[in-house]
Amino acid sequence: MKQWKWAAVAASCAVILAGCGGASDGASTTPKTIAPSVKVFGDSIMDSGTFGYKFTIQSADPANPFLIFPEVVAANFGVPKLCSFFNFNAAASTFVPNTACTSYAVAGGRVNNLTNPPAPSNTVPWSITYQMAVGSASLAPTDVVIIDGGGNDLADLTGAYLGATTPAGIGAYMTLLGTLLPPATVSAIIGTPTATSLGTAAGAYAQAVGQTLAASVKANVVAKGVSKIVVVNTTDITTTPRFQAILGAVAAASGSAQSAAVQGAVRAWTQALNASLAQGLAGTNVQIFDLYTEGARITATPGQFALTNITTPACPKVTGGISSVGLAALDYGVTVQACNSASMSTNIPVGETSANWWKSYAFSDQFHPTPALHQLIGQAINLQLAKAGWL
Amino acid sequence: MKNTVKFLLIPAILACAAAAQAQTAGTWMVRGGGTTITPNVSSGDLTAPSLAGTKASVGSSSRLSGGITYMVDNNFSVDVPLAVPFQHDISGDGAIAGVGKIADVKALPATLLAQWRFMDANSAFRPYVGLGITYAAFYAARSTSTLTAISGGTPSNPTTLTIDSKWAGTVQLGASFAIDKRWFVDASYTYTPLSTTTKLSTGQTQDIKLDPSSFSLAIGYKF
Repeated sequence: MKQWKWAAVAASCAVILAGCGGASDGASTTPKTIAPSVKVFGDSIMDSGTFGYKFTIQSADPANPFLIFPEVVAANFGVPKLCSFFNFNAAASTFVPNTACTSYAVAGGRVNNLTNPPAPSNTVPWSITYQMAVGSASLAPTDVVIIDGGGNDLADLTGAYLGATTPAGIGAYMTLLGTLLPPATVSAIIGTPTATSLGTAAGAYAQAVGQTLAASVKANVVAKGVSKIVVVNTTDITTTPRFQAILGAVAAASGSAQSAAVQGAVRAWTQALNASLAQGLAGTNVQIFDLYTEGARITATPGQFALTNITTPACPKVTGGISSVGLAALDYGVTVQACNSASMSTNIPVGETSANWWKSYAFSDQFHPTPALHQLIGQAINLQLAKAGWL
Repeated sequence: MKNTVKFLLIPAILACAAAAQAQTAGTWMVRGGGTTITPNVSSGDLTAPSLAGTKASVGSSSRLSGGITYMVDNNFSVDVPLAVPFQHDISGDGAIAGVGKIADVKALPATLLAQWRFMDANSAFRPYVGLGITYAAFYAARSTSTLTAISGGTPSNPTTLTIDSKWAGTVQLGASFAIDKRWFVDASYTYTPLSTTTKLSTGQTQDIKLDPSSFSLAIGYKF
């Protein structure tokens, strides 16, 4: 009888265990917030294809393109795909609007596009304030809006600053500053040009860029009653391979102290831009994503983010990944062509052993993130938005 | 013989046809009630790639429960607690504190306890201590869209998780209070030092100490 009872106990346990068995692991695939539309305004790191491709390593599988960070965010708001509103027609050198698309970001976009040599105007799609002015008309309060800007402005500023070593260079520098600051202010700050006064003027310019971006966001987006706005501030561009090369050249010519001084100055301007942007948006409902801090965190602890190389661009490592003019830049067709997931995995460079080597690199070319870094930025933004209760 | 009598009486349980019985050798007891499991979580960090200090917390769960006890002799008993599956919410903690719920998981702890019951077999009040082994089965882990978002996934490529099922020891403190010759109230507290590992579909893992405490209250019947 004892055996019978133990069998009964065992059977009841088995029934209870079986009753719960069979359910497998899974996921809720319904986003917490479903946005009718995600609108994007900014530059190359947010450009979904104005020039026919994204400024990162291309996916060899067109059905599964790599997501850049605004696309990672958009997907989690239930918008699986972004496409470019402005589409560049190279033959005519014009932008053709596609009103079915909601990403207004254009590679090369500047807050103050008057410093953009090929198209110095703030009424062209390279102007981020122009992008917002165009997109503003169709903004709905339930849209999610993501904006970035400032990186190319700082690159222009730094280039002109480094060239301000001759009277002509100083003149060009002051002209650039004068596109945003009153020329009298520029002259007053610079006085008799010194490294310090030239740098102080750059700081004032960077502040003005931040103020301009904030004012445009308020006028074109906040004023439309949009409740979910993300503004991505400017990362430290001195950590990009492009600026590391520039700093290397400065060090070679003038010593490492001078190189460190330039890097410190650019960082100070970036922080001035970001501070004035934050100040300009204070009191609004805008979520400012601090890409500067996130970038510094990734740079300081790359291993924590599964990155093995944060200094060398991945594209030049494969044949054709560097253009005929020696540039590893994704604005050159050859680089874009060569720099795709299939070619990268097939051509494992010296020093690497895995076909996935490029998935742990931070930079695809001199200035632009790999899909891996895009994903890290996207999920960091998502984390902030989840803490805000949006995702 | 005694066992045979009890066996014959089993169908009569619901009719409450019963003879006087204490917690003596050979006694069978069944009970039904409720159990709350409260994990005492100490979370490790999610492995790379992740934000440093990414941790998780695990909430408590209450369910209908019961159990079967057999008195091997007047003091020593063997007990099998039973319960409908528990469901625990998992939330972000540490660097991701504030994101809310990131997953839930069903848990079914299967425990076998050896108990020592103090006092006389006929005492109305019998405290006991127990020592046993638990197999904590974790299954049907379901991630939320929040976990997918913060781990770089998308709704079409969601991040899922699995939680390893584990063996662990269990200690118990409890007492039974006889209401009458058949019915009793049983209250017990168990503690299970249990560690497990969570694995994300994105490749990261997280070691987590759950060390659950559970409190059960039940009404039982001796036969």
